[in-house]
Amino acid sequence: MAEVNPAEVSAILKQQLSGFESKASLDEVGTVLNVGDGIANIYGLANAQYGELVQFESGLEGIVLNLEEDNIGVVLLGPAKEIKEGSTVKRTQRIASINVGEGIVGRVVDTLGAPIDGKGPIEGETFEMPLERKAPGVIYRQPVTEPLQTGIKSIDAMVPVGRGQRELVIGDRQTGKTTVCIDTILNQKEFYDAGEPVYCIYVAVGQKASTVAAIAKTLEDKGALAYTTIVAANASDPAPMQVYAPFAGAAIGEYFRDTGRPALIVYDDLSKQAVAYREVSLLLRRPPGREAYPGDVFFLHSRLLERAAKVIADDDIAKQMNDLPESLKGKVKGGGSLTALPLIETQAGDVSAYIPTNVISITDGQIFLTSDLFNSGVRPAIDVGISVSRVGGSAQIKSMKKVAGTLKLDQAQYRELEAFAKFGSDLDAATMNVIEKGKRNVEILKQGQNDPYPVENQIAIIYAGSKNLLRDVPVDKVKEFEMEYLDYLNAKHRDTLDTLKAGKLTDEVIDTLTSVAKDLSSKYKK
Amino acid sequence: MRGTRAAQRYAKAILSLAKDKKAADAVEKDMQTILKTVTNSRDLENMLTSPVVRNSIKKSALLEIFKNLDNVSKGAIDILIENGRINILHIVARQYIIQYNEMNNVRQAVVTTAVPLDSELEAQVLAKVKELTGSKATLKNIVDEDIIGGFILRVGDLQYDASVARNLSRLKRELKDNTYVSKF
Repeated sequence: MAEVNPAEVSAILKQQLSGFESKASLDEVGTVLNVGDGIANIYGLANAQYGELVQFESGLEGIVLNLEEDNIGVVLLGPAKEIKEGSTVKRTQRIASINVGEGIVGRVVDTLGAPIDGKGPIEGETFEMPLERKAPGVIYRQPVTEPLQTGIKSIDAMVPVGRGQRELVIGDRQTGKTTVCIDTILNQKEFYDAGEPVYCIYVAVGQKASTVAAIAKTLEDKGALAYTTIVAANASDPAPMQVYAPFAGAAIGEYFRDTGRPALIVYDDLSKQAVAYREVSLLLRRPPGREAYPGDVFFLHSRLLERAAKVIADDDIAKQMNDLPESLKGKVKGGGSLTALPLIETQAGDVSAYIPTNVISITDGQIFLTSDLFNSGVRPAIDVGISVSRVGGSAQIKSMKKVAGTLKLDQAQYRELEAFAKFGSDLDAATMNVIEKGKRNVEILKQGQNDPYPVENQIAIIYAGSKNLLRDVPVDKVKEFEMEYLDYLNAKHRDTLDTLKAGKLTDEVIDTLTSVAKDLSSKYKK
Repeated sequence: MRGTRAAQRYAKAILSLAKDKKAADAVEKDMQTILKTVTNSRDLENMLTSPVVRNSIKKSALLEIFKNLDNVSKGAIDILIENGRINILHIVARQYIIQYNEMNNVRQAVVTTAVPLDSELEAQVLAKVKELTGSKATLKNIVDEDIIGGFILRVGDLQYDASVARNLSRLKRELKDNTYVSKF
């Protein structure tokens, strides 16, 4: 154990005590009638507002969720063990909110914004952002036009995500949903290094603490924690904490969005949040509906995801945005965005269950991961046939759009013919051609974990694949070829890649790519 | 609290009738007696809430216990028995007192102290109540050594906490809440 410096200890103690004032307080109070299952009913507190935080004697906080004639229902944000019948509860006059500032980047916080990573208090100026806030109105938005590079070839090529979009990541357990999202966060390092960071927020709902710790470590090791905030409500946290964690994440994202910067938020995952919300609702005796979810579970997700937006570039209009928190007034800038990647876990591929259909209909498209593909070694296991992006197309960079235009169609044809190939070899040349090309494209679209590709590399290799320049390369050597090809381009033709990155696909570039691919592939010719 | 809603309505009706008959003060005294008697006697409360005891017995027992009641109070007991609501008698009494005090703009202040209040302190506390709420108050003193020192003043939904125990518990919480310790 590291040696403890006494001066340090007293400094920390002093800091902790500096905020302490032994003043008397005048509060509005009520009395606990009954408590149990994370819910307390309170007599009195006639002026309490819906969504307000109340504080118990032990310091535990709760959120007011039911207002009745002579009592209020409060969900507890912690263990109920110290609460007794008859103990007093006081109003805090604060709507549930989280303190956000630049200092929150790189931290792990809980639903109420309290740091839980042991790195001390959040530093710097903070702004109080309400957990529940109305999404920006139509006037304050603009269409999605900029790409959000995920670094995953099959996504960036065929289901592109734009800044301000809400793209659902859906699939069974163990199909790599979290990996896709973590890779997307890792890929934003390029922009952080270039000085235009996309601030990332990873919201972990109802996960094992060990998983969250592992993710935090991955992000830290890859240098991605420098622009990422983790909001964690683990499986052992009370259900209300899990319900509100995505809202806390959205509040953090809104801080960046409304101050004119791009942000990316991953909700991992919303099915667990819905389950937690069901628990809270049933305990509050709200009537259950389909699959025992309460009637407003759709609204729970729609109001959350609606907060992802691309804010209008005009500063003057953005400043008048609706429902701006007091603390943020005067700081608002236009042009910010909040991109949301909600995750939904399906049971045995059943997308027609209640929560998946709800979230599919709310989002601007979905990335579908299947266990069949995953088990057959196609990773990321994205089923491009049923994955769509409804708005991302206009956000794709030009060069990628041109190169990947035919890819989705080619792959669809390949999958159709693939079945025939299994029966025998009596196929005409054209069919064989489609199948061989498809096989190689599948290989090209495979990608390792924590290995995002810069967009120019993606375009270069996808160009080679879609123009069938790999026809001489055996399928099992495609990965080898890819590495060699990209290394060569990076070493010798950086200018070509830079042109691609800038979104241009000139004849010159095409010539370079074709000749390099031909040269390298001839090596593999038998 | 169970039955509060019904009790509020009964209390309102009783108060309104008592006012018309200019007996509000007398009824208030009755209600004080009823509240005190019922809450102090477990047997009486059990009898009132028991579904086994017949209403006629409940009625005769109540009339025996509370002999010198005002007619309005007697009528109230009658109607409560008739409607099968006699089990909330003491809640009705409490609600009546609350509404009566509200009508007269008098509020009950509960002061919790570590040692009993003397009259001088009582006057100071009453002055504080006046300052906080702007209405007159009747004072009730609860002695609770657990608060160590200072006092807790509660008027309705308002609480003025100047106790040593509160400061100590806040201090404890602030020290316990250490952001330098990882929680996952």
